[in-house]
Amino acid sequence: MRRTIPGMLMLGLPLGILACGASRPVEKETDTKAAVRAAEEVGAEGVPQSALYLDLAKQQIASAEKLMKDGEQEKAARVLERAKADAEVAIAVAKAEGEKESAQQAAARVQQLQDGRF
Amino acid sequence: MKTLLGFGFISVTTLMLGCGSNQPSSQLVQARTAMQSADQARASTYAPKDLYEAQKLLAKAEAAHKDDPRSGDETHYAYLAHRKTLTAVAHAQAEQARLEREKNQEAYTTTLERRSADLKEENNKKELDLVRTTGKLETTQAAAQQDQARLNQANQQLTQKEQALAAETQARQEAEARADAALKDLQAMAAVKQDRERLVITFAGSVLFESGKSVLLGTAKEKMQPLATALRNYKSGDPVVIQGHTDDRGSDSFNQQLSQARAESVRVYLIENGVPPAAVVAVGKGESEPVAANSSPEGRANNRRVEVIVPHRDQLSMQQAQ
Repeated sequence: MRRTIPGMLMLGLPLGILACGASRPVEKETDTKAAVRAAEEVGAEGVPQSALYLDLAKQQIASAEKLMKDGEQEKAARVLERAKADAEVAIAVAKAEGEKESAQQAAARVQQLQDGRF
Repeated sequence: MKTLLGFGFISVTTLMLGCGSNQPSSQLVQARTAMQSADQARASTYAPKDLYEAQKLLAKAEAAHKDDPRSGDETHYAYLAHRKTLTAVAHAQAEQARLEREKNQEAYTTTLERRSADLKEENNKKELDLVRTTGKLETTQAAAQQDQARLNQANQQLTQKEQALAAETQARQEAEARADAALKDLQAMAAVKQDRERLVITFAGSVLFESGKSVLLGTAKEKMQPLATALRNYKSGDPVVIQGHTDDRGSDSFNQQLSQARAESVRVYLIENGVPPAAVVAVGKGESEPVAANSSPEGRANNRRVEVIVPHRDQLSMQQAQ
């Protein structure tokens, strides 16, 4: 019995930590929403591929909120993780499009200059 | 036998089920495919950190698939791996685009600088040309101004010459008029005979002197005044000759002396009235050069005379003009 209690404690502590990590979807929701805002700020809504992932992220946030309301904290946390990953894709794709456009403009300017049209 | 068949059936079903459940989820398939595209996008070079995270997530998904195919963990991690891979690809593309943009901006700047240098050089060249052209223009203008000045001077000289010519012409005309007037005056009191080479004015002896004397009469002086005026500026090499003549009455020597004295009186009168002494000479001819017969009183009267011979009529006019 003496040996069992510490053993249970040793087992219970990491489990508690894991459970704690997985069962704090509120923080994940905050992070995910921040990522969605960031995506909107970089103009993800104006880039078709980005807009797709942004919508997915938003839908999953709504779905996670529903799960949280139903007490499905762990599921909600996973859904939020996926939503954040979607929002991050939206950010990266939007930024990449912006960079590509800038690069094309720079190339066009060089071409214009070389053609003597400036 | 039945048992064996039953076992076989169960085994095959289990195997089939096992095979079916070993199939990766669509999320895992998607994640694997995305990982391959990450290679093409050179994510390992341009987004290594994102790619590494994606690989870790894919490894988790693969492990979950191995432990418990098609479980919630497999689809979850496969989903995350797929999205992380897409993020890595996008980051790699963004980085490459950024580098491309920087390269183009550098090329733009370089080209612009070169173009600017070319333009500057061209501009300098043009400025130099302009300076040269301006210099040439100034030289040409200066030359043109000099030409204009010379032209003006020439015009001025021409005008002066024209004025001088006009004045000369006028003076000549006036002189000729005066000469004509003088001639008329002379003709009124004396016989004037002229040809191309000389002008001979003959005064009758009775008009100038009392009989046998050589002193000029007062009336004679008045009559000779125009002649004195005309000869005042006489400068010709050939002098004006004043010749005294008599008729044949009396001795030759007396007549010679008388004619000489009379010629001399006229000469003195002319000199007193401004004619240069060198311009006139007096010669007594006595009775040696009669112009008429001495047998009649009229003939003798004609022979008693004083002749003034001016070598050139033109000379007389010119002198008057001056």
